[in-house]
Amino acid sequence: MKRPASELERVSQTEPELAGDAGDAGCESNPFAGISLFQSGASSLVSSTTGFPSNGTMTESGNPFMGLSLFSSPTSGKLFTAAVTTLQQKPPGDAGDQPKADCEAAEVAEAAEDAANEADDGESAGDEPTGEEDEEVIFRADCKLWKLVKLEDGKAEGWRWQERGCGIVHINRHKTSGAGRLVMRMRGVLKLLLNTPIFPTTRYEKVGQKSVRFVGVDTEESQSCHGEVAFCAFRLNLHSSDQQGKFLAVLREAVKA
Amino acid sequence: RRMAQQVVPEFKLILVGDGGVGKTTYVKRHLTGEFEKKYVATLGVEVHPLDFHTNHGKIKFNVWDTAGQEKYGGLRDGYYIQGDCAIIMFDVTSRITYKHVPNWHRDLVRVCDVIPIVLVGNKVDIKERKVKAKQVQFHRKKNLPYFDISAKSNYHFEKPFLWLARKLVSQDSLTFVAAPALRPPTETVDPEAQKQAERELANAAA
Repeated sequence: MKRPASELERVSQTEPELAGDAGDAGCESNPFAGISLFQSGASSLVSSTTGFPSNGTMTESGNPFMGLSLFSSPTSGKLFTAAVTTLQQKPPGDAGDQPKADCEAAEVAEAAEDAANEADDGESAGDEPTGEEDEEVIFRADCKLWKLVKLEDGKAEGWRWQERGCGIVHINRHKTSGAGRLVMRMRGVLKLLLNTPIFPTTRYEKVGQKSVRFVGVDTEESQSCHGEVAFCAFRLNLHSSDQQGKFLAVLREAVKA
Repeated sequence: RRMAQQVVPEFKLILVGDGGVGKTTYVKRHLTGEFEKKYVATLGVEVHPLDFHTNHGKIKFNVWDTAGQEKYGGLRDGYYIQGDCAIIMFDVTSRITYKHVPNWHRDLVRVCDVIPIVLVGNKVDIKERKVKAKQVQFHRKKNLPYFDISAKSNYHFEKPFLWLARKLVSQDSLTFVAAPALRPPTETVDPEAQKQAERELANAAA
């Protein structure tokens, strides 16, 4: 894959000077047509909550449609359900949904660039708390994360592997208790993708030459329901079978500790 | 709107551009990390909250992902009311989507007046590029930033949000920082729930 040259990026840092009159907004007969607010097209594997994240509200100040059409599921949130049904599900075995062995070439190049720029993964830069201060990172590798999600779309139901993003997975060991956990953040925005303790009972299974699959704490679901912990299945794609082997070896070590 | 310790500043972001340029895929990429290959036209608008951790605190964009196709336009520029910022997206493999950028810009400015706007050319991972970076000139006239991006390969996918966040809170030094990873409360873990998840995995992914 050809990587766009960085000099092609044109960025102006100056304030946009825009002309134009603050005009009328143009209202039609049904001002609320087509507004929907949904969280996600997929639900987690095992969820202990029936609610959905409460942060789905819009700005309170000056949103003319505040409080309208806040639905918890994508299907009920649409006014035009006919179009929604085109969201066909693929069976879990569909080749198109299988995790690819590697991240995209551009992502790898980007990772190399990031590593060169920041010497680290860019996560520990600055004074901001990472929540990992009491732990040492005993393994670090570039990878792509997938999550097994259940799609509930009307009548049909299906499981499929859905991408969660690329980034650096950490195996951490607590400095005093020795407890292990897996942490991974999305490259570029450093959003939390994976944050699960390493349980002695968890099975970490080799998949193919480069991947490992396991059950762990579902960060997305567990954040929305306080107290309860939800689980889901993950699949991590590393860059080589060598990395796969090292990852599993360090995990075994972390469990023993 | 100032960044405070407790109150997370929220901004309404309007995402516009022709149908099929990748607006919804781009938003989903940020929401969950998934990359949706299938094209399903957006009807009217879909609003998604997107949170970012920065060295100046948390910031929330309420992204109004609007319909690109005229026939599904719904309220059209009625959705732009009280927008705080905007992204105009086109597809670098389709000249017509770039030709329409001035129209999207005109409509935004008519409703929102002066707000930070970013111009974004998506799908730069595709070899058959039709709009070369040199040919992208519109942003110069209007003094907007321009980014080549790829929602597929994640190339520069954080840049539009980073630029807008810096503008909106007037902090050129703003960067995204690691979201704090608090230890999950292991004492409330139900071993049965874990086993159940493992059974589901065995059944679903075998």
